[in-house]
Amino acid sequence: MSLRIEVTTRTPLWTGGVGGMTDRLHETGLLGSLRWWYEAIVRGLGGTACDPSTDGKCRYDSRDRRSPEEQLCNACYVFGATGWKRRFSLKVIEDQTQPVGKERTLNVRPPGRNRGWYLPPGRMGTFALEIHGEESALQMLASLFLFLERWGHLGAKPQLGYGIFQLNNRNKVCEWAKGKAWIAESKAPDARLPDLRRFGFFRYRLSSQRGDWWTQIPGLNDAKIKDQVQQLVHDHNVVPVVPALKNEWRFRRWSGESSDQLWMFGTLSWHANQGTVRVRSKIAVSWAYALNSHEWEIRGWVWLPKPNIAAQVWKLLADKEIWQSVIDREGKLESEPSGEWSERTPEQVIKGLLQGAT
Amino acid sequence: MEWEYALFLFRKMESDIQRLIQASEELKQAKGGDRKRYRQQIEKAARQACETDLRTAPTIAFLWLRACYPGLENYIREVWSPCLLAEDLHTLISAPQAPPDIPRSWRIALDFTLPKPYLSKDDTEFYLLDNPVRKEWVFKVPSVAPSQWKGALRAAMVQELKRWWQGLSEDERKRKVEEFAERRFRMTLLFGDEKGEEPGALKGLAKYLDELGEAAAAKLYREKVKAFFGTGTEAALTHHRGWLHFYPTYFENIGLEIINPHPRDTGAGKQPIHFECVPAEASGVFTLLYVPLKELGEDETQADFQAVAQGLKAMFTRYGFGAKTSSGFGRAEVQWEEAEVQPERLQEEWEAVWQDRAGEPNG
Repeated sequence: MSLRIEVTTRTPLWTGGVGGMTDRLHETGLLGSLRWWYEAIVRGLGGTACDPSTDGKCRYDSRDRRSPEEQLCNACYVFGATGWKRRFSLKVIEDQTQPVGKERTLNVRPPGRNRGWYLPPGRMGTFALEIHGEESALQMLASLFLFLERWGHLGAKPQLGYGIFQLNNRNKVCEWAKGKAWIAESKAPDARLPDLRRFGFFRYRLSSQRGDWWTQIPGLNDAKIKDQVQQLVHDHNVVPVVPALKNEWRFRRWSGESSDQLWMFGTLSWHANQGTVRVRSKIAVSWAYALNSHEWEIRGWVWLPKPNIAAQVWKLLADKEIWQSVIDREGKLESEPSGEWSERTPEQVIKGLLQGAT
Repeated sequence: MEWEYALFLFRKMESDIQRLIQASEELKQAKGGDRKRYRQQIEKAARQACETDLRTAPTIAFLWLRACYPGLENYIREVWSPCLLAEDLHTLISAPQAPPDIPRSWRIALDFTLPKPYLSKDDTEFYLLDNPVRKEWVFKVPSVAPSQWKGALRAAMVQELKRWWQGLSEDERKRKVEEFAERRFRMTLLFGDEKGEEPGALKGLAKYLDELGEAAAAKLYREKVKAFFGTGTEAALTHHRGWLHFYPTYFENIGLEIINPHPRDTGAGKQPIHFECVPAEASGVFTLLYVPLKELGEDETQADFQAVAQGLKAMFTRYGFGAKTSSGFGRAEVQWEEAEVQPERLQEEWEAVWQDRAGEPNG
């Protein structure tokens, strides 16, 4: 069976490549993000999904009398493991994406920052995915893509705003997704692994008739990069607001422990048992992208695995006053959950996030 | 005179390697702007070592450093990638010529281009990367071995059989048991006996196809094989070779692909994994010869041709060949209009398959 998914990027897409540039859309990069989100969903529903990058990952042994479903976790059964092929194949076709920003890395330095944020050029445009596989896998993928279009991202570097997209054949994908029934189980969250019960989502919409509304955002009016940003706005209707927002949250408004700040916002040198490791930010916020001629949107998510700081972080991200002070435009902020932070139940994950995406 | 080429190369690049080692020692103590200078010296020394012989010197330097100065070999790997990508390798063995006319035989030779890279894994233990692409043994040219083509084509044809069978309704399957058995039987003649065909201990492909077609089709299939080879009274199916002969394909370019698994707790990749590949836009020639080992009617020969043509189309465009085919690698754009099909009377059948005018292969 086959499923076709037609995509237009809203923010640049990053799928990696040799030489540190996204020379083309790499299926491996897309598959990695699909798997990551599917694992978060499975765990959010109280199910089991291993970390496939560690020694504790699943393996399938055909000599073992147990069935594949018994030997493999939910995610490995669909996405594959040692000895077990993925239940579907995925291929990028009709790739009309192009590199953005003249293929130059954009270095945005909000006030007070020496180094700032480096935003490498991704790719934007349209493409399609041709997916062949078992019916149940395709139904799951259709449902997953609908969820990602509304709440998540595709590809890598979500913490820098990459990977927001829209589906061009949404109706067709919805038809496939109807066949997927998500089932709640009962396993408790593991603080080390992304779990949708501990994810918050936010969306900020602003209106502006003027094409230069972004020029007052900290860091973007710098003479060194203004032309580059102007090009992005003109060619792709996107504005890299991530550095300004993160700068405000992390360096101007954060009032918690510095170790928690490093852990939440990311660091190149986190001291762990196995030595010094890099830690990615657990806050992903997109570039601003145009919905139409006068409306723009910025959205993102946060993973809050530490209950002791979850409320504090959520309060920061869901503070509309901070958004307005950075973006310098009146807007509407929606958050899920709305109001104060609360962890979801598996049933709420299904009703609020998965079914709500269709 | 150095009889050992590796030793010869090492002598030539030894001074560059010593400069690399020296610079890395200095780097450990350096601060500030000096660090940049020593890194540049390391990169220069590594690059000069590799340029001694772009094809072989990097591997020798890499392995020697890994053995004697663990950790420093990564400098070789860092500069080696650009050298490799800039190099064009030459095809040293040309495509096979048409064989003399053999009754009832046919031949297909086609050009194809890779829209996506092709991955495969070489057997060699001593290489710069953990995942070198498979190469011809003597001249180290990237290649697809005949055995790889055979495996990929057989797998594609089995998958097409499965797709056809599972697309039928329950009633249709009951009516088409004989057709399933015949298609399976023709594949056995084309490729040789099925792996795992041991009486009382079925496994592998034989077990898979038995389960797919179920008992009636499996029984009928075995009767056909025994009748064809005249072994009706024996319990086991006779071992036999296939009628298809595959030829290697050689490529002129080598590229690199990279993946970077991200641990779920930190979210940041630790160790990128390099895969050597044949890059997109590379082209090759695929050649296949069919020589039946028994007297056959024209209809059967044509039926086999149609089945293989459809199998080739499925293999190149749908299922792929090589590694990571489920991630988009290993597809090909076939110049089917310019394919060489001999005898020419089969050209029309070939075109019908590629233009989707042909039906399902007949049993």
